[in-house]
Amino acid sequence: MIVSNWMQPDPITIASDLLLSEAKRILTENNLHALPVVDAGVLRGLVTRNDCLRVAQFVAATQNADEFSFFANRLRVRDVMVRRPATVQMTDTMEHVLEKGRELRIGQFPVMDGDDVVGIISANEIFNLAAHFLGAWERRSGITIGPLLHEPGIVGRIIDLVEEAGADVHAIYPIGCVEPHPPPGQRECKVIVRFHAPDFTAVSAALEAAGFHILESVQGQPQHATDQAVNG
Amino acid sequence: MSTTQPMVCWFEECTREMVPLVGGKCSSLGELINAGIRVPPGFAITTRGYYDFMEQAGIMDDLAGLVGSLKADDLKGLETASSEIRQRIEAASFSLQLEDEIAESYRRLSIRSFMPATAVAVRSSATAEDLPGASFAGQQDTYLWIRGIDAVLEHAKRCMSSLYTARAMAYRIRMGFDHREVGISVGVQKMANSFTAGVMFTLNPSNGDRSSIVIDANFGFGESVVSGEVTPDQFRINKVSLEILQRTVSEKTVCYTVDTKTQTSVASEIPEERRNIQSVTDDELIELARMGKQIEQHYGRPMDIEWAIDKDMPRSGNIFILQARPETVWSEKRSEPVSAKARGKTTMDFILSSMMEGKKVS
Repeated sequence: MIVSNWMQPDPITIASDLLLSEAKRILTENNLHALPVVDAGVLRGLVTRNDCLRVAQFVAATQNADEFSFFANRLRVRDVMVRRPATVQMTDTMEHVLEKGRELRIGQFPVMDGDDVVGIISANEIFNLAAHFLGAWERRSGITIGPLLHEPGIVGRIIDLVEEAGADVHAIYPIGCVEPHPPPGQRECKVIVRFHAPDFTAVSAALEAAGFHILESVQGQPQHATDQAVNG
Repeated sequence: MSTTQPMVCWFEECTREMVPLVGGKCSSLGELINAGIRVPPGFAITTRGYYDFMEQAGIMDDLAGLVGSLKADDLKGLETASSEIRQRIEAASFSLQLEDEIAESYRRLSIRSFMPATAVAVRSSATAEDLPGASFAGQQDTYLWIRGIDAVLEHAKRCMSSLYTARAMAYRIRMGFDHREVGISVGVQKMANSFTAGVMFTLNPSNGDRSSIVIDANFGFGESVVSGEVTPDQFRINKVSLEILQRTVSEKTVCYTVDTKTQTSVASEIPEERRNIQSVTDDELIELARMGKQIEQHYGRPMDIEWAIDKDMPRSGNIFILQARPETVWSEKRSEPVSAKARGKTTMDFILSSMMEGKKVS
């Protein structure tokens, strides 16, 4: 999973001397989270919807007509934009983006090809990624089992059990129990299984009979094949 | 210059030892903040930032050519060199890196101040080498109510160029300083929107009496008091009992305030009915005196303090200290013992000294 396949390409960018009120309008009208600020082809900053809201809140709190007019007519993007924003390269992996966002606690990155802005990753794209992962629109049945030791062969064993119970396995992901970094030697995990099955209870019964502990189970309602676009 | 030194740093990170990096003004503001005194927040563009700017803009390399072998008494030559250097400084741009660092600090300051593109005071902060020069030339540049990053950058450059007034250059030539060795720092401080402001001495500046605190006050920004443009209200307060011993309410004709339409600091006439009214309340005076005592205690010497009372802040949290420096006129005077050396002075000195010393009975 490479950033260039998941980003929103050709994002709307703005110049740093644009009025902030105008930037706010662009964000709202296009339902965007952030606008990269580009002057003469060089990324100079990032304006987020959050920044705009905060400014608007400060201005509103003054209840002062002159402050309103300053906001509407004089406050520029470069007064408010974050300088040297964190970015990712289009050749980075999505894992790298997720890790960086978690670490910095930010939700949007301009995507760079060298020094040029070629895309953006924001909450919209992260939702899209997660939705693809879980096949959100397929309404799959889901079971989470664990905690268990992540040993070689365990994933295959679970698949066999589920398929023998008559299910059609769509996805299986072991995830760590301890986030984000387990202590060394710690191999305990949970396993998430996504499938379509005519008889959901047969699947969970088979897993329990084999000694697995079920943490969550959700019965899905498969729909007919949807026309969702499939990405990367 | 070591590359580990920052180009921009917050006041609260400035300490007494950092005068060569952030100048006297910013380092003393940092010290005040860390002593628990209420000071409006801000940051310093350090001398490393200044050197970076001068080198990137290519002015540093041309200095030798511009100043040449001018003598300290060649006023005409100095004036020409000064205006050329200052023009070049003000026309040059900061490096992207430095501009970003200043702008990022300004953005954070705005968030801390709950005001987008917050209004700031931009002031030069002279370093030790240049202190005497700066004080004699009276060229401590101060720009009030600056809003927007473009204006902040522009006025920061003006402060930097004040290092090259003809008088400052003449002073350095006379003292044998290399122009390239002397740096300047710029303080960018959140502007207190003051209703009343002024200065306070933790001694009586007219006679050096350390048992009283003297406060001068006028409406608006403190600049009208500092510059001596108006006759301010004056109050004398007992340092121990915090009683107001004397109050002189003057006729105040002018004050500096912000014109909220243009967002600039303007001189405005004080309306007739307010001219003869005491510009600061008794409660505020006592609170000020208390802060003055605290500052004096921290520094261990009489101080000269600039203060402001912000009109946008809630009462009880609205008195701010903008600057504090050691009082120099009286506190450096050596007090002579009255006795023993009274010979040759007035008759009264002689009588007093003999009374205090007592007479030897042989």
